[in-house]
Amino acid sequence: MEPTEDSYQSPSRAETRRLVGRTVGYLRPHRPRFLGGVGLTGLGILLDVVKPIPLAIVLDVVLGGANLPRWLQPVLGGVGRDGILAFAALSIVLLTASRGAATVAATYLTIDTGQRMVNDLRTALYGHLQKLSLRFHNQQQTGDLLYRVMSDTYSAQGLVMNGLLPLASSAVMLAGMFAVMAGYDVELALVALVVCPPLYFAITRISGRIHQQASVSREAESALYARAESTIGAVKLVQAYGREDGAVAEFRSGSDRSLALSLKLYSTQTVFAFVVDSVLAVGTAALVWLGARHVLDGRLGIGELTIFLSYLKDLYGPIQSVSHNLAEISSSRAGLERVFKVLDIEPDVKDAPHARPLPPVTGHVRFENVHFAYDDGQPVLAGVDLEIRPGEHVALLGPTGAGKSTLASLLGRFYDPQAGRVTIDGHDLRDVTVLSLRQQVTVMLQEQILFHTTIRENIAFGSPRSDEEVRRAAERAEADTFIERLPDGYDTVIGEDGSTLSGGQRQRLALARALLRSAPIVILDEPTSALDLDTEERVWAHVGDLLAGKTAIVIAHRLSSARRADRIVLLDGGRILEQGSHDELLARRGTYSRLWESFGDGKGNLEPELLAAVSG
Amino acid sequence: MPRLVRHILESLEKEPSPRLIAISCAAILGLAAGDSILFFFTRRILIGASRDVEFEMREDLFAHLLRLPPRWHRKSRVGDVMSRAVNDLSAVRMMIGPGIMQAANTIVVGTIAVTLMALASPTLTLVALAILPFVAVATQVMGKVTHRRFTAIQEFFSEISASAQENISGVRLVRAFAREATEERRFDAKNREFRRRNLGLARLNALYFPMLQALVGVGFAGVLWVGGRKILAGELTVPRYVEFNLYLMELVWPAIALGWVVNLWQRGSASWNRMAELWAAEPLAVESAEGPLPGGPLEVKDLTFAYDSGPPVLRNISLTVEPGTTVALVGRTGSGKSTLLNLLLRLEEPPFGTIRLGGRDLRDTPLPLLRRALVAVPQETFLFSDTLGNNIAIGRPGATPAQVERAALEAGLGPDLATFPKGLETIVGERGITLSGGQKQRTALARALLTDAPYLVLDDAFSSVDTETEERILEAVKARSGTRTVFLVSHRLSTIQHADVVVVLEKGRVAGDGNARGASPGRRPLRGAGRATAPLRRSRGGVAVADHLPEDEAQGRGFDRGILRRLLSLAVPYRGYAGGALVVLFLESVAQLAGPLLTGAAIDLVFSSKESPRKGAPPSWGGSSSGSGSSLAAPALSTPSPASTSSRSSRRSGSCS
Ligand SMILES: Nc1ncnc2c1ncn2[C@@H]1O[C@H](COP(=O)(O)OP(=O)(O)OP(=O)(O)O)[C@@H](O)[C@H]1O
Ligand SMILES: Nc1ncnc2c1ncn2[C@@H]1O[C@H](COP(=O)(O)OP(=O)(O)OP(=O)(O)O)[C@@H](O)[C@H]1O
Ligand SMILES: [Mg+2]
Ligand SMILES: [Mg+2]
Repeated sequence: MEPTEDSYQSPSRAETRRLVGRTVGYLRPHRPRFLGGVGLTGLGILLDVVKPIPLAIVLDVVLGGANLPRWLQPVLGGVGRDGILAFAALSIVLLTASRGAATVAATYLTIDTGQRMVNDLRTALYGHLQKLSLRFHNQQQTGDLLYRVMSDTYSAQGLVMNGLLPLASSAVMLAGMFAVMAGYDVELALVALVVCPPLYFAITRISGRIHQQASVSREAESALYARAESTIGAVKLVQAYGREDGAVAEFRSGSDRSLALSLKLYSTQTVFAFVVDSVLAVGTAALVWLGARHVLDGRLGIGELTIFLSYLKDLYGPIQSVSHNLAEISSSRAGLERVFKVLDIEPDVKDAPHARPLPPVTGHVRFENVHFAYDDGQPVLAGVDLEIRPGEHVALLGPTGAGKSTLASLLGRFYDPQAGRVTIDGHDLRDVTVLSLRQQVTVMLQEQILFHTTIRENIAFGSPRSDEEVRRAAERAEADTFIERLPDGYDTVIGEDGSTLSGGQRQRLALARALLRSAPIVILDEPTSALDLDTEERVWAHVGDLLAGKTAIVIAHRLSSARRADRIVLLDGGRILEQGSHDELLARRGTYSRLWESFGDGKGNLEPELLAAVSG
Repeated sequence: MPRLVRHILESLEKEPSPRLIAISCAAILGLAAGDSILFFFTRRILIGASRDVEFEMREDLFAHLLRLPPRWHRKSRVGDVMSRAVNDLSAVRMMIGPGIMQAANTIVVGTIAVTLMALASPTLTLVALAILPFVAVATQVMGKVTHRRFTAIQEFFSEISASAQENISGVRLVRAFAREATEERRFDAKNREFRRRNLGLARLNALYFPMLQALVGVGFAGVLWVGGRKILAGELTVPRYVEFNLYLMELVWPAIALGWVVNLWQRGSASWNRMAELWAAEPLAVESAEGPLPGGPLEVKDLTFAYDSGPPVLRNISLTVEPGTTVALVGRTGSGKSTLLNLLLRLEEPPFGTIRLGGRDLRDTPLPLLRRALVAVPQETFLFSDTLGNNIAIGRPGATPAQVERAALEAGLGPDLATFPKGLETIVGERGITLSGGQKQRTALARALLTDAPYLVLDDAFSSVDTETEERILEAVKARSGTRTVFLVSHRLSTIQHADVVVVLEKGRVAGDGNARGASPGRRPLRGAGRATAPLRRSRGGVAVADHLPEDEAQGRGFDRGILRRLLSLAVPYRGYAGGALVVLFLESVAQLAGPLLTGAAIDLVFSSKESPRKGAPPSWGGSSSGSGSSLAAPALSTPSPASTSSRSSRRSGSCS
């Protein structure tokens, strides 16, 4: 997936054109600003063109005693030397000042445009990530995606500001100055252009290499970033195993590789800049040589030659600036490619063209001969048939890795089954919009995800619920008591991933979050695995009330949680092994009854002395 | 050098013109080439060195972060830390690389040019330098504002990356709750705010640089005015004036680059302060890893502990664990079980004198040794996106595949491995998302089992594993453990049955302990024991209040000399480089200054040899126009200094960090 140096193909010209076209697409909404910026840059250039004139006048007219140029006659006709001098000094100030003003506005506008583009691109990428399926996210590293969202999107600005803009203004200048210069001396003007072919040659030859190196170097940086991100996220583990040195050594080797790549890139870049500089120097020398000869031949005035030369500087300036920044430009381009690569991925769970919103449902769930496998192809579900009537509570049991969580995620349409179908109230999930489906199905995930923010926001999770509702949900999840004891109650900010809470407290927050939603179908994946039996007992008492009338699937390993359900479903080997109520299954004397006997004291009594000890 | 130039000029005077032209062209080429080569080396050396320093700093920072206590990490957000380590660091690199290069360039070129100017005409020099105080004031103001705004920008960027990081790593939850649209809106709003702040800074910079240019323009006009009058009055010769103008031209870019340097420096120092906050946190001491592994009985005596400044979580805990016993730690959720285990592992620091291992205070036991002796499966499972085998081998890097496999089998992963096409080589997604809950937990268990540590701590390590599998694993573990001491936290009787001793924690106290298997409701009234323990509230005197975060101290600190010293110390290994770079830089500046001089003079001579020889006032046409020629051509013929190109691009990309 990650391009290595050998496998990496430098992009074809068509790709380049496509990339530029796409970048420009992001420029389109901000066209007025951008064009304003370009226009002002042009004005600035124009002022640059005029700037040498006052000095030339002073030298030629005031000191040299030549006649005033014709176009100045009407203005300064009768003015003495002192006056002309004052006029020249004043116009220098005015020219530089307005040149400055043009720069202010141009710079501001272009930066503004760039920032807007970055903003658009970043939001687009972020929004796209929200749409991509879990199948995609399973294979990604948070750090890598984060790098794309936060760093790579900057490239849009970089590419426009360091690449497109100077090149565009260089092209404008080239045209304008060529016209002016050709007016003086066609031969000289043509000579000024002789640098173009070798420049083109140099750019096409070397820039491909630079681009390839920039891509590889960016990938290395991103990989390093992802590595660091996950290591720092797991710092507790690293420390518990005394693995700090090992982790640092790994980071160091990644970092060394990245450094080597980046230095290589910069040396190629300097070589390139050197070549371009040399070509330009040859161009300048050729012009001076030829220009001087023309002056000697009397075909060109000395003042004209100096103007020529000073234009040359302005002309070559942008070219030089691009060549000196080519590494950054290429790197920007590589970054943009990384952004577009993700933007180009089609979400594989998405609304079908004919998808309609799911109407309010009663909660009649059916799995019909469902087959499912993750990417590695090993079947996880191999023909599951399960019907859950509205309002029924089903406990899903099975050994670890049996596919319980997988079954639950099919109902939330995180994935689509490869064969068979899942329906709610007769609607195939693939025929309804994902959003309307998930609004009616609540899934409490097996792993608890908590954010570095207040308890309240963790429970509400962006939904506009009142404080009272949040509190009630917390009470139902038996979380209210411990929350009230925290220093700021519901406003206490918890650590990332809930690291300032105990395991059971984290679980209850996640449960409260699920209970706050009032969807007709609720899936709870191991909601009480980290709770003591006494607390669990009380949680179930509330949750049972709350779920009354709703369709519920509870996944559990603890039979104490499971036995309450209307029906217990035992999943193993991707199929349903047994199902029925607690008593029916006990009577059948199958796997469930065996499990039940090994649980508690075997007579249906649950850890009596423990319950007694901790409920005091 | 001027003498050299004059020498050349004198010899040139006698030559016929075409040859002169050729020579001057050659001179242009030679100088440009020389300049390019020097420029090449300066960049290579300085940019290379600054990259080196950046990477070095980043590695140091990473190592530092890994050594910060968990207490610190709980308060921080990964996204924020990463943003400081990457984003702020690159601003610092800009400060030490291009920043220093530009500063040095400015100083060298500036000093030489001003000296030469003063030699040419002291009065004009004064006129030209009259703008300096204004430049200084403007720069000062801009620097201050830049510093403040840039700090705010970087903070906001951190905030955005931290929340994006949380969103991406919590993608399942966002999906499950259909919050995508809300999240996207929030992100967009934050980005808009970020852009707004950025533009604030951009506006400032956009104003500053043109202002500087305008000031320079005023300087030029002043020189033109005063100089022109002097020439008219016969107090100044045209060649001198031209020479002076030439030097003044060379000063333009350094002056503007100076603003750029200040800008870079302020950004860098704002970022440096943010990084310094990370550095200011006190890391765990690095202790020697030599010596025998600690062993023997584990005694906890009157342990009272509180997180930060909160209420005590553990109160007056006392217990003794003989080697080889299996201790079950049970209690209601939130009763302090994990806290006690974290203290045993010294992931939290226990107060002195409260925990002893083999007779030695835990605080005196070197951490590396302790961590080798005590191995834990934490309550929350951490997995890396790496192969299953590598995830298991973390605790023992040199382990052979056979050993890894045995640990995996012991942890009950056998049946699962059989279904993974690649077995132990299977890549598990980030945080193990491609595994089931129980598979994750057992991977973490296998990791602990691989280490063969004499003390094993299992914090609710079977909560996602079915009871049958759990039973099998515990049997296997016990069969192989021999004299291993095991701490088990669990809410399940099935687990606790395997313990020799049960310790019940209740609201931070030991409520009672006994033999789990022997204990039956009649024989051992645990409830009574719980009630009988010491009075509930005790003074907070003995509570170990964790020291306040050093982070707070760092916040108020400005960009002080300590930081500078630290920066310099980082540069020490590159002393040689830096010296070389300075020499090269000096040469480059000389070349830069000589280029226009030579060309100008050459052109001058070409035409003065054609026309009347110039001698004093009134100035001849040839002399004057040659002056204009050289002064105008000057910037054209020398390769633009790094200042010109980079400051140009810096103004364009402005606030792009
Ligand atoms: N995202 C994924 N990509 C690939 N394989 C997966 C993924 N998620 C789960 N699996 C595999 O699918 C199988 C079933 O996993 P699932 O999470 O459904 O089990 P479970 O019944 O919930 O187990 P547990 O009780 O341990 O949580 C396991 O073998 C697991 O490795
Ligand atoms: N880092 C922390 N900062 C502040 N308070 C904490 C921190 N970690 C835990 N606590 C608090 O200390 C108490 C004990 O937590 P601990 O994690 O030790 O409980 P536990 O017995 O392991 O519970 P569980 O069975 O739920 O895992 C809880 O009230 C918890 O909120
Ligand atoms: Mg599961
Ligand atoms: Mg715990």
